[in-house]
Parts: sequence; C-alpha cells; structure tokens
Amino acid sequence: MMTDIVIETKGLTKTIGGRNVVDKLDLKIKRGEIYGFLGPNGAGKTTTIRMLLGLTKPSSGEVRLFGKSIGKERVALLRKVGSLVEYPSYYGHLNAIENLETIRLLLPGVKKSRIDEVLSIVRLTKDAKRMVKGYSLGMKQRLGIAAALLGEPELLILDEPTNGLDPSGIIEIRELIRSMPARYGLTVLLSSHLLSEVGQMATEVGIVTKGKLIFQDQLEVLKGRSKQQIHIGLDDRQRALSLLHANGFKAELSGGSLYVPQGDDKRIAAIVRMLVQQGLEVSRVEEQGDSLESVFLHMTGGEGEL
Amino acid sequence: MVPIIRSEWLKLRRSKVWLLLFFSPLLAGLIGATASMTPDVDPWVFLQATVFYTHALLFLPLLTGVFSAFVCRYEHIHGGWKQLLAMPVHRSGVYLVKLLAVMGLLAVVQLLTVVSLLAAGMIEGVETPFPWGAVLLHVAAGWAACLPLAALQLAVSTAWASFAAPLSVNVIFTLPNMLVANSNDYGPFYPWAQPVLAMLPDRLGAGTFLVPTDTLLAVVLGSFAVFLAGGLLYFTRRTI
Amino acid sequence: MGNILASEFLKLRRKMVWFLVVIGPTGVIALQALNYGLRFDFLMKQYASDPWGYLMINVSNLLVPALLMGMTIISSMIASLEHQTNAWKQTVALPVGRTRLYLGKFGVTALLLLGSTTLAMVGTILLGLLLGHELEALPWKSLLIAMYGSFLSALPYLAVQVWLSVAISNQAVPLTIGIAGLVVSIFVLNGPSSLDWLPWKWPFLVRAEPMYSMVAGLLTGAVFYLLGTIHFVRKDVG
Repeated sequence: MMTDIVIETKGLTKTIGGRNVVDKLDLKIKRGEIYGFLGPNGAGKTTTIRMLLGLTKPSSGEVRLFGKSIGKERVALLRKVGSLVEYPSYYGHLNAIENLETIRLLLPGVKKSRIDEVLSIVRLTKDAKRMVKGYSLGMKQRLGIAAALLGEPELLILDEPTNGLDPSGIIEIRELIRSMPARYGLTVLLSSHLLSEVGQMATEVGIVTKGKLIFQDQLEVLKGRSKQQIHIGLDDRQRALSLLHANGFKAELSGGSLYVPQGDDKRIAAIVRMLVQQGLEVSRVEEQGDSLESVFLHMTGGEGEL
Repeated sequence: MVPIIRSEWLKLRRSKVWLLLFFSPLLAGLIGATASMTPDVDPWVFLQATVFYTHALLFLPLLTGVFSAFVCRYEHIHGGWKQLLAMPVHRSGVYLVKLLAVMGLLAVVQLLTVVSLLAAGMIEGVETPFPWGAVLLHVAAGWAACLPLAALQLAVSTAWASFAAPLSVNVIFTLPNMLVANSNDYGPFYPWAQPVLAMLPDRLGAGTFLVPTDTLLAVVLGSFAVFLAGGLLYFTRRTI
Repeated sequence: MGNILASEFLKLRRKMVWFLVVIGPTGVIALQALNYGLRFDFLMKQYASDPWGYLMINVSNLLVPALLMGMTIISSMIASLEHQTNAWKQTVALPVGRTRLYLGKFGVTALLLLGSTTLAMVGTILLGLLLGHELEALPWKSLLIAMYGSFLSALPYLAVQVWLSVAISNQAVPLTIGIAGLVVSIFVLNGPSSLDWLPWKWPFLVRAEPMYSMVAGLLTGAVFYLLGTIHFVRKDVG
C-alpha cells in the first residue's frame, strides 16, 4: 500500500555526551515534496539525516520511512533511498564508473547502463574514466549526487548538496533537483544552512536550531511571516535612532543599518521629513531586500549563517 | 553476500595492496636459499622450518594487521563507510566480506610462500621429492591460525580511522612472539604465536605439528570466536 | 626552535602517542620480568657469571625491535597530524622556515623515543635490582651503550621514517616500509659480519661494536635527515 507520508519521525532524540544534539524531532514529509531542512551549522541536521539512514541509532524516538520503521526494515527501506551525507564519499583510486559500479553491485535490479545515465545527468561523462582523486570538489560533489540517483530512489536525501560547487554548478544542481519530483516522481529532503539556497527549490520547509524543530510548514507560510522593513540610509545613524525614538517612532539599528517597520506612506514620509529637518543627509529609503533571511536569523537566534 | 564480495573485489583490485603480497615470501625464500643445510635433518623439513619460521614468526601476523587496516582504509579516508552502510546491505555482511578479503589476501601470501619454499629447495639442490601433503597442511594451518588475529585487527581497524593505531595494536601483540613462540609452556596459548607454531614441522618429521592439535584448534577457534563476536557486535551497532 | 617544538608538543595533547611512548618500554620490561619470573632459578644459574650483562642482552633484544617499531609508528602519527586534516598548507604558510618545520617534526619524534629509551633504561635497572643483582656491579657504560647506543645506531631508520611519513600522505606506505625494515633487521641480526654494513643491523650490533655502530648511525642518519629536509623544502604542498 502506498502511504503518503514518506518520512516521519516521532520524538526523535540523539544524546551525545549528555547533550541532546537532536531533541524530540517530529518531521513529516509527504510524497513528492522538496523538503528544505534548514538550520545553522551544528543544529543537528546531519545527525538527523544519519538517523534517517540508519547510520546512527536514535537515543529515543523512531524513524519511519514509507510507513515502516528503519530500525526493523533497514535494508529493504534503503533500497528505495538515495543519499549524500555531509560531503561526498568516494574511492580515490577508482574512476567514476568504477566508483558507481561498487555501489550498483549493492543495489539489486539496477542495470549497468544506469551508470552512464546518472553520469550524464550530473554531466561527468567526459571525466568518467579519470581517477576520482584528481577531481575538483565540485566534481566529487556531482559524483556523490550521481551515486545517490543510481538506484532510481523514491526518496533522495541530500545533505548540503551545493557545498563546494561554483555558481554555475549550483544553478545546475538546483535546476536538477527542482525538476526531479516532476520528472521522476520522487521525494527530496534537502538540508542547508542557507535559506536563500533552499528557498528557491523547496516546497516545504523545516527549521531546526539546537536540535529542536522550530518551524515546519509550507515555504509560503514562512514567507508570510516575514515582516517588511524599511531601510533608511543616512550619515549619522546613531543620532537618527535617538531622534526617532524621541519622537515616538519604532526603529532599530541592525548590522550598522537603520530600519523602521513597514507602515503607511504618511508615516514613512513623516519620518523622512523629520530626519531631513534635523539636518541629516538621507540618501536611501528602501524596502529591505530579502527579509526571509532575517526571519530565519530571528528564529534561529541569530546564529544562522546567511 | 555475493554482491558485497563483487563490490569489495572492485575496490581491492585497483589498490596497491598487491605489492605487499610478495615481500615476505621473497625474503623468506631468500633466507631459505642461502641457509647452510644440516646433513642429518631431512632437507625439506629443514627448509620448511627455515622458510616458514622467517615468514610466520613476525611477517604473517604483521601482514594480517596491515591487510585489515588496508581494506578499511579506503572506506575511512573519503567517507566510504557512510555511503556503503546507507546501501541496502547488512552490516554483518559488510564486515564478514572485509574479513574474507583479508583472509583471501593471506591465502595468496601463503601460496606464494609454498612457491618460495619450492624455489629455495631447487636452489639448494634438494633432490628428494617435495612433500606436497605435509607442506600444504602446514600452510593451511598457518593460514587458519591467522583467523583470530584478522578478526581482532579488523575490529580495531574499523574502529579507528588512522592507519597507525591498528598497526600499533598489531605490533604490540606480535613483538612478544620473539619470546613467547619459543616457550613450550606459553607459546601454545598465545594467539599471535599460533601461525608460526602451526607452520613449523615437528622434529619428528613433516606433517606433524609442534603443538598438540587439539590445543592448537582450541586456542585458534576459541580466540577467533571471541574476537569475531566482539568485532561484529561493535560494528553492527556503531555510529557512522 | 623552542617554539616549534612547543607547538609540536601542543598538537600531541590527548593523543595516543603518549600511551605508546610509555607502553613500549613498559611492555619490554614486563615481558622480561615474566621471562625471568617463570624460569627464575634456571636463568639465575645460567647467567650467574654476568647477571647484568645477560639482562641487558635480553632487554635490548626486545627493546630494539620495539624502538624501531616505535620510530615507524610515532613518525607516522606525528606526520598524520598534518595529513589527516590537510593542515600542511596551514603549517607551511606560517612565517617559519620549512627547514625548521622539518627539524621540529624530526625533533619531537626523536625526543619522544629518547624518552621511551630512558624509561626502558630505568626499567632495566629496577628489574635488575628486583632480581637481586648488585647495584655496585652494574656496568653503566654497557648499559648506556645498550640503550642510547641502540637509539643512535637506529637514527638512519628514524630519519627515513620521518622523511617517508612527511612526504607521503598515504600512511600505509611508510608504515609498511617500516614494518618490513623491522623484520629485515631481525633476520640480519644474527647474520655474518659481512652484513655489518647494513644499517638495519647496527642497532643490534651496537653492543658488540659500539663505536662503529654509533658513528655509522649518526652519519647515515644525518645524511637521510638532510635528504628529507631538502625534499621537504622543495616539495609542493597542497
């Protein structure tokens, strides 16, 4: 029977050295989603992924893939999963084809021709016969993605997949991932510490910080939470801040820039007029660029790397 | 199991471990070929004692450790373990195939040592027929005596990513062989001394063991069971 | 120089190296204690003519292989500190000459093993006293030669191991070569004197031919050390 929930964790917890690296995580990922698994470095993303794949046993709680417990049916479940954890795995003394062959042999029912297919998907065909130890970081990353795709998985788990890729490589991989659910009908879990990264691919987002899931919903909901701000560029920001506060306007200095909350035009006009009359040189009044990032930053307690 | 074996073979085939297969047989053969023969001992028994002693006192146990570290090395260095164990395979299968790889490499070394003994005999001009049965029995027994060492070294090699750490363990246990193997009281009970004890012919002639066969069997199988169970238990539970 | 060594020692904190430095000599002495303990009366009778002398022979027959192995493993561990985390490029980019960096790597390895040798010497004396040998009868000169002399004669071996460990990132290579060297040395140790030119023999030869073995060891060691330095200075690091 097909279940609609591909990944489900219940109270998933991992304690390392007395600290809950992953703390009662309840993930729920539906078939066909591209799930962005977000959080600052060290939030517990990779540990969670390791537990999803059965590489590490949870201290408590449970992982269910396709409705079945990974603790009980690990081997059968892993046949349907392709993964790339943390950094690409490879055997330096083998070439790309041989590397993929070591994996293909372990995947029942995958034909040899599939190796050429995945190599062409990640555009490594030209370098397929070179020893992998001579590959650049980006090529190794692409090989890792090829390995993950090899078994035509129903679930693809990619941990920081654009690590080490150059801008054109990032765009390429992004397009590839975005097209996957439609083309191959699979579900993707994608971890990243960059919201901007995931924001362009994900349909659903989960945010973890310090091992706890603090947000899990559609990307649109996250976008809705972003409060719009107005950035005011001027010379003496400190003085401007005290003036604004003295006159009853809300304002804050963040990262050396002055922000006031989005509001109706009249209020903004009043603020600008007041600042100009006080002799400050206002050079810019603009809506803040990517406010999604600041929502993320705010949620994760300012630890996020953006 | 078979798919895992084929996958392992692919990784092993292209590695440089092959260079290590020849060293010990060559050196042991050289020592045999240049040894001065004692007239009152059967020449093949004498040569077997010389060549196999050279080979099995230190080399064979040390090689067991090197091979074990080697088959784990290519998994350790670039994240092979996490990729391998996220495949639809049983961890115990992966572990047993690694053990099989080590024992396979040792089998090749053992066969080369037979060749080496044969060559040493030809160089020394031995004319009596080569005692195939006895020699192969000792070579096989020496190989089997490496089982517990391989099991222990594999456990240590999977646990530590560094190549030096398992080898340190290996050397720490193997060096005492220089003393222990010569002790009639303690040699038979020291696992690292078993390969050399199993490979040496008794003074009485080829085909008999230096140590009572039941002791040899009990020590080898007993320590193998303990080390293998420990290693498997650890490996199937460990965090990758 | 002091700073470089201090920095090297700092990197060794909480490392297994320390365990090896202590376990090596301790193991050697413990094995000999066992050897003597098990056959006490027999050995005492057999060695009655020169109890200290035989004790030294027994200890150093085990100590030298342990020392050679220690040289192999510790060189590798110290070089691995940089290889494993790709730290060479960081270390080499520091405002310190590469000659001195290499000296630091060599120096820290040599000092650790010298420490082991000293432990073994102290252990030998303690074991001798425990067995009831007279302290007054202790031949200090022979003891120093058996211990530090072995170390000096093994310097070529150390210099080669440090060189290989630093130059080759795949530590399987230096470790395997080191082990092979050890076994070679064990098999030539009783070989004819026509093989005395083999560096592998010197650490064992030192008791019989102290001057020759130590001088040859120092000189050959210096040559390999220099070759290693030159190679390290010219090598591309990435």
